[in-house]
Amino acid sequence: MMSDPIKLSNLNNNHLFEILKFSDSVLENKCLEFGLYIGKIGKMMHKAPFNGPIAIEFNKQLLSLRKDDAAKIEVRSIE
Amino acid sequence: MKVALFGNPNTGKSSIFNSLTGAKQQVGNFPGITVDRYSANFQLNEFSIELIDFPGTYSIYPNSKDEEIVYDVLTNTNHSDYPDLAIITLDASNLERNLFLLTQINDLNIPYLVVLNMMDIAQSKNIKIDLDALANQFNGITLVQCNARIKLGIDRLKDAISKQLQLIDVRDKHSNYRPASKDDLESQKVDNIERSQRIQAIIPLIQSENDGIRTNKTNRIDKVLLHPFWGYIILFTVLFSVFQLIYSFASIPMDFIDTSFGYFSEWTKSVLPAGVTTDIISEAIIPGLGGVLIFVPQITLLFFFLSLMEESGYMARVVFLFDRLMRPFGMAGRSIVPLMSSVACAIPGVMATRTIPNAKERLITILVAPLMSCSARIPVYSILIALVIPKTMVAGIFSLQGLVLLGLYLMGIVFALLMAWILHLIFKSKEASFLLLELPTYKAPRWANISIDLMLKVKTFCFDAGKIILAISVLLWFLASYGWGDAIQKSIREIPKPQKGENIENYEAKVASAKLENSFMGIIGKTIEPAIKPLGYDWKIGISLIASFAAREVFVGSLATIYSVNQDKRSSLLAKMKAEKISGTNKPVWNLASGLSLMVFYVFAMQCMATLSIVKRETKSWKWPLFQTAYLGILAYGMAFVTFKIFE
Repeated sequence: MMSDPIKLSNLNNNHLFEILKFSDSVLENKCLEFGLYIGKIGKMMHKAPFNGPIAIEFNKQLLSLRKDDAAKIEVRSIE
Repeated sequence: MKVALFGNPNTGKSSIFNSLTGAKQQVGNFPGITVDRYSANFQLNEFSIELIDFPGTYSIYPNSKDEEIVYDVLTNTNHSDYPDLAIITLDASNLERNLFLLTQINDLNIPYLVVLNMMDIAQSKNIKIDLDALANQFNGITLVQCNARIKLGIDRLKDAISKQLQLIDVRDKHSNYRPASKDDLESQKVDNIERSQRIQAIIPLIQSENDGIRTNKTNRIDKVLLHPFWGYIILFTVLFSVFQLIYSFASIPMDFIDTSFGYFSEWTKSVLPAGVTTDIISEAIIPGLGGVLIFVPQITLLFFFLSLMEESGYMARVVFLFDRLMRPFGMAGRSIVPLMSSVACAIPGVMATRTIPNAKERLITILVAPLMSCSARIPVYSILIALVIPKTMVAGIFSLQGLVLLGLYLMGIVFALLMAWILHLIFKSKEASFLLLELPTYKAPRWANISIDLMLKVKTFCFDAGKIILAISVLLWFLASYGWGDAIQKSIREIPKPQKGENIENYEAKVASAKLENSFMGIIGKTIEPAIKPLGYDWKIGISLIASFAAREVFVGSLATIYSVNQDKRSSLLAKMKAEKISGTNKPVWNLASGLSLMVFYVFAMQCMATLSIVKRETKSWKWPLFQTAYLGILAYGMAFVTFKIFE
């Protein structure tokens, strides 16, 4: 099932996602070095309270990003 | 021969370094930057090797100031630390990410060999790796499988290093790869995208996964430790217990060091011939050494717990939980640990900022850490509160004295955050403020790593900060023991000799008081009196302020000396302080206004030579410790002045 693109920061815990687009070039560059790029499939794992960082899982690793940065990554939710 | 270790963070790189070198490590500097350079010299067959451990990075392109050293060395064949051979550690459980750095070093055509670490974790994550296929992708490069945690494969690694070094001369070091410049993010991106696609193409050839689900143990633990409510409760409980443990455990060896150096000083005085040399040894050098060693128990205990948190993977979770709360103040999630530990003592607190990767966040944390009320302030607060705050109850249940003490602590915390916020606005940061933080798999700590780390930390403190502490204590001793010409001797002669049956202690106390009053320190105290009068202090307090630059608690002892009372008798010191009058008047020196003003002064002032020394050590320049002393001094003066005016 295809769903509409949403911001990674808006995804709920335990949802799978596929990365569609980065709206920040520097962020995309840094993410590449961690193996996170367009087309990568991952899972939202944790969200810190008070708009704190989020943690996603991909390549069997857990990576934490700030919420502002996660808002610059467009994903589609995979059911 | 220079051999250098590179690798992603959390790949067991430092375990490999420790296993290869044991306790032979040295801490030095990379030229021009504040990063510590960990290295060790050893002999391997016919080669004398200097092994250098570089900071862990995900790429040669730096994400922080500290990581630039990797780029600077690898892209400059003339750099003094350019390696003859690179060892790249790979986390086998995350090859896709780890191959990034590997392909970069491969493209630079630096001779290298690969250590494949954490195969056990890869297996537990159901990842299968075809080692031959991996080696074939990189021209048949040497791969050594290790498990640094159990020292497996270290001998094989040594053989491989020695074999590679023999081949070096015949290798062509020419490289066609020109990495983008450090600041050219667009060219870096072009390079990175191409590299990422290359890695995506080879990953399916060398590894296969059985399913997409990560090892469940870490996930289950994180469900609790990263919980939006329980995560914080657990973290606070952990930190609170750790600092309580440090506070109570460290006091035993600290008291022991304190008393033994006291005895040692007395003993040298009694066995050595009287004279200046003996005085220097027994009154300056020995107490100075004691003043350095007294911090070792706290440093050891704190870093034991910090290493545990770092090694187990918990520290990354602390960052996750605290990033949002600390960010408005220009500090990192990790800053919570240095700040909380500064409540016990700022020395280990400042040392603990080492784990903050962003230079600006680390600097701000260091600059505000001394505002957290440390335990050395307690003796000062307690005698002043007993003197000027009445023992009344507020609202029937709170003691006013307790509330004042609480207020002083809160004042420190509030101003630490406020100053951090101001410094954050002032300092410009060139570093991108991304937080891309790996939350590593939970692991049992490696005790060998912890003990080597502890030894190095204690060694650096004792030698780097210790020599400054020693120099300042000798200077303070000199100022307190010598004066112009024979002014001290003359003043002592004027004191009537004790009569038969009279208490000799009274006479000795008067001599000590006269000595201090006529020393250079006494002269300085009197000279600054006009400057501190607006704060409500006289020259006797001035002398004690200067003397307590050694450490805040010295204030009480110094005041006792100048009032010529035995400092062990708190009640007689209190009585003397109560009776002290402003010269030429009948008004007491110590009243609510001057007492509160002095307490506020101690909340802010950088009255601690050990903090100054450790800040010099950690920032590797005199600029920041002097800036810190100045800004805290101005703040202390201003706030004390306001306090005095309000309550006068």
